[in-house]
Amino acid sequence: MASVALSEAEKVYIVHGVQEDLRVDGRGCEDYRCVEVETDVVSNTSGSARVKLGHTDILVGVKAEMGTPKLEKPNEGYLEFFVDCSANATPEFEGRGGDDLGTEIANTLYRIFNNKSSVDLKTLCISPREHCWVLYVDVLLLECGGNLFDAISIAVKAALFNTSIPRVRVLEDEEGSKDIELSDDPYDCIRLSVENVPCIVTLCKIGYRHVVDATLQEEACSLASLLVSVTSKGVVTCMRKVGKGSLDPESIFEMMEWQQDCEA
Amino acid sequence: MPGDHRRIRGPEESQPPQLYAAEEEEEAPTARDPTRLRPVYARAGLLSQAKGSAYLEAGGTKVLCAVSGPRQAEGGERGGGPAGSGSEAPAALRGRLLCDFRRAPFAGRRRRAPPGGGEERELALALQEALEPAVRLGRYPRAQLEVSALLLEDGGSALAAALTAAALALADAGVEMYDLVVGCGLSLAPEPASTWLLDPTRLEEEHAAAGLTVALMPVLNQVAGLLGSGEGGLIESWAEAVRLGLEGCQRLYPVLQQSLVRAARRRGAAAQP
Repeated sequence: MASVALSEAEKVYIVHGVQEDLRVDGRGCEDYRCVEVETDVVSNTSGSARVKLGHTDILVGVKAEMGTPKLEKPNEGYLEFFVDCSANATPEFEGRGGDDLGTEIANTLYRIFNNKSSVDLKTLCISPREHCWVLYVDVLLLECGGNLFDAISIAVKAALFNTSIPRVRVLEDEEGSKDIELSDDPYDCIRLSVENVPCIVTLCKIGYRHVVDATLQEEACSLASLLVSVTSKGVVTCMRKVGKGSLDPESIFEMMEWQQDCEA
Repeated sequence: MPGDHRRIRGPEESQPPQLYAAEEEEEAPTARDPTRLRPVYARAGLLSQAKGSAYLEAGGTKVLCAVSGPRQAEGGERGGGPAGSGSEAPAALRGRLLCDFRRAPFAGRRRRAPPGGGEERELALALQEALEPAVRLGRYPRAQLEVSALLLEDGGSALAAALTAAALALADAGVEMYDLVVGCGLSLAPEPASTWLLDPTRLEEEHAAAGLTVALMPVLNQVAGLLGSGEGGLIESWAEAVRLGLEGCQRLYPVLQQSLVRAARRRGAAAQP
């Protein structure tokens, strides 16, 4: 992750503050920063969203294109994720530097959406085994201010909510050749239901307590964090430990209960 | 073929015949005790060219892991990550652990061409995140340790087996560690049973609604790694799964201890004459 140079004294200050439920910017351990979500920011896409969480700035664009369904799932469309860590976010991401982080985030997104309930993929099917909609979700990291996973998951959810896929009809000729016809009305489109799209909650372990929505400085003081993706109904779709340190089993259970309350 | 020294690739679009096979009765996994662990065969110190190596077999899953190093770290000083707690060597001097996870093309039911793409990178990252808490990287300044895991056959809980084999290989290489890392896989049987099964077979994993891999350092009782996904239901169900996994890891520990002792004895006997 992007890192920031912290002196020992600053670290001690942050850690001791967290033990007392007081963070550097005055929040409690369980408070999020102010989130700004804006949709429909990019006109060329089928759906887009921009999320600002403190200093973290994420831009997501969704483009719907037609493709062939995967062999194992002929009746469903699918999603493809791509995460680009732009060099504007931190100098470390210049050139190929941001690729590792980008693939890590993309893999986590694939994992979260890798189940039947998050997005109804059957609505993306046009004709089984031949045509389906493929949603290319492209995430752009404009500024990195800590807590990337949470912000990205909110942005992806908002962008999917904003996505409108044009309605197509498949016409069959007498010879059997198929023709795809786009409807004339530009507002005739399919909208996705994002009720069950999960959001990620990351809890960073600092000292003996855990904090939610950590800034870059707080992430530097934490050795391990637990990342859980939960839907609003409380269904967990992914769980992962991130970081170089280890976690005590008791603290994991505590953090998990905490994350469920957080999502609700 | 004269001049073609690269691997001969098949036609661009090739699919296995199973896709076109008639719909036969799908074998459903048989009911079993959810807390049973498959018998494990572990052997350390089998590759002569690697500093440390281990082979682990659990049911149908076969993993081979090799460790090489410590070697001088490449890439120079990269801005340094966040420094540790202060008592260890500062970040720029800490050693690095590079993990590589590979699947043999014949490991699964379908042939997967060697650059496996995203999945292998993800599992390699998971390996690294789970092994780092256990290895005393501060004792290897400016050096890197390379761990490469090769999955020969996927019979269920492949990542867990790779984690365990990697930890054994590191211990066999004489790398300073705080504790061994033991991995355990779990999967959630689909409706209506909805129980978490410990150490699933490949069939159970395919039919599962969710899967989880837990890595534990048994003596220190610290969770080194956790990776899970799927429709697992509510968080209490995942908490129960983690507990079950931790228990499974504890039960596996004595087998690994014995295999390390045997490897040390073998090495001692070979060194004598």
